[in-house]
Amino acid sequence: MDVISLGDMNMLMDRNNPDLLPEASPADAVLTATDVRFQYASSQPAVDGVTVPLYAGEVAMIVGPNGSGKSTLLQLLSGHLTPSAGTVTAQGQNIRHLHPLKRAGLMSYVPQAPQVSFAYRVRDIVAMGSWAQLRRRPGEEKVSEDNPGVDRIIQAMWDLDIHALAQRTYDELSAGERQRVAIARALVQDAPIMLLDEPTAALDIWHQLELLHHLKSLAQIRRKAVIWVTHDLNHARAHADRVLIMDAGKLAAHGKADQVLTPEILEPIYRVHVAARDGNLVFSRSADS
Amino acid sequence: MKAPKPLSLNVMAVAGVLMTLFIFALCLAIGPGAPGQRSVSLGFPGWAILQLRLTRVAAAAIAGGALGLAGVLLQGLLRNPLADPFVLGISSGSTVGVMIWIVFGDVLLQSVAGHPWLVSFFSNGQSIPALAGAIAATLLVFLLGRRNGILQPMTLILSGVVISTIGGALVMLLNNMVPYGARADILSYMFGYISEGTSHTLLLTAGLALAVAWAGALTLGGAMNIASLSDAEAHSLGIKLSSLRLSAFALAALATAASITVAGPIGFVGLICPHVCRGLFGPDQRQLLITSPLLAAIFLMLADTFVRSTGAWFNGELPVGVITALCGGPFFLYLLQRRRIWM
Repeated sequence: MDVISLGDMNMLMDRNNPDLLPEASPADAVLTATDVRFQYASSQPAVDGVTVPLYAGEVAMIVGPNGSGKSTLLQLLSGHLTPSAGTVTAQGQNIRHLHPLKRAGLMSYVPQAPQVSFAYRVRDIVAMGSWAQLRRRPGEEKVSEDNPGVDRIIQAMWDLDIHALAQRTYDELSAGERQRVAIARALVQDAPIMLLDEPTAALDIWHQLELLHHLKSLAQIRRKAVIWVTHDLNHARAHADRVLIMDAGKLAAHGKADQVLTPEILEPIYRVHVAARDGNLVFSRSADS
Repeated sequence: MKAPKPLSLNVMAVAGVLMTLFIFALCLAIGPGAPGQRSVSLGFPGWAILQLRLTRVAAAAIAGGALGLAGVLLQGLLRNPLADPFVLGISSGSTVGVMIWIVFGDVLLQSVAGHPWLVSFFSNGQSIPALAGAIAATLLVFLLGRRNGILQPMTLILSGVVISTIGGALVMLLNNMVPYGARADILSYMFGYISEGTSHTLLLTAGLALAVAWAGALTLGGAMNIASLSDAEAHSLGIKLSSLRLSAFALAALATAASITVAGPIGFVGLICPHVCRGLFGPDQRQLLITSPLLAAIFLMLADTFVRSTGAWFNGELPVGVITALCGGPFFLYLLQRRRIWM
């Protein structure tokens, strides 16, 4: 079983150990957007010429005001939306030309508001994550005759604290529980690239911190690329290895959190007054300052 | 860890098929008593009558199975528990076809008089025009229901509703062009009918179409489970939605066409059977694709046996659609009160 327990992660995780936090080099990029554009019908471009490499082993957080193109960019990276110009490549291959099963083996995606149309049980929804692994991909052997997903399904439900809900049906769950079910499914999918759209939006603070801890561990120990859209700038400042700031469809800035989440960059984009206090960003209305 | 074999699926399939065969035999044994008497007899009749019953019960089984299959496929495809085979305008399309046949059939037969093959083809009564109308409506809904080359559930449903409404208006328009006496035919056609006189070629063709549609549908079950998620989620899990939806739509249309050719547009069966099975066995499409067609076949065989045996009570046989609606409706409401089956 290649699932790492939380205890192991605690031992292995040490932000002060430089060996565990190697500097990313362009050759490490697992997912690259190159001059990507996208426009919804009859409106301004939602994403306008974004070029960004994303690396294995890092948590990259995408921030920006409402309507700045964060979620659209994430869907372009996942391949669900097709760019009107530019390309997205995963491990060197244009994702438009990847077989759906192969693409699912490379990238998982968790939307902001997961949807399930019928009353499936939680366990069955989490198990859907192993769909691509259980099928033969073109030119590849099946993973195994045994079901490789069973252990992983149980582990993912423990990791997301939904094991007690395993037999419950989806319509009985709260918004936060539904979000955790979708994230557990992405863990079962076990792809090297994880794309998450505001995964903590409906979670209480305990579950937020647990999830952050877990996904950071996956990035650092399993070398996954975790790409995460969030509105919480302090979260991004505290936990992201790299921050991408979107503004009006363009990538306004990207780099290490303390270099880009500064009052000078944030104030014109968010139209608020920003002050850094005790390592946290404090916001107030511009008119009040 | 060894994966548990999906034994329940096999057990379910075997038990379901055995039960369907039992009901099939039971329906062969039930029939009206002495002519003109309000009585029902139980027991196998002579070969001549048995042959007629065999045709009729087989037609009911095929039509029912096809409706149950199309209902599951469409509810899954449209992510909508209210979808049924006729939400896509297929019912009104077939009725328009039959109306055109009633109004212009004689003219058509005269114009192909020199071609014996065409004459015999068009002499199969209402089945061929019904099928042609259903295919035309389905194609139209298919073309209108796409956005960016992929079928979109909401666009598809709305297109189906609008095509149904236009079809209904055309039926009323044509209705005023036929002699008064022919109007009763169309009224009873609209409720569905199953007849001993169904041609064996037609029955065989419909049975084959159902077999092909069913076999194809059984391969889609797992993918259709995942397609119950949002488009973006299903896509990220490795589902190619455009081809899945195209396959589900085509197979549902094939099954519905099979049902229409042998029994006309019978309502309610394709709506409630997937619901009842979902309430009993859960939402797993792989199970529903087995259980819903079998339950629908059983339901329609029993309903048709009832109308066949009770002709003397109602001044002639009732259209079978009356019974499926009158029995299915209240039962459905009962289930709605007792369990959560709307999901």
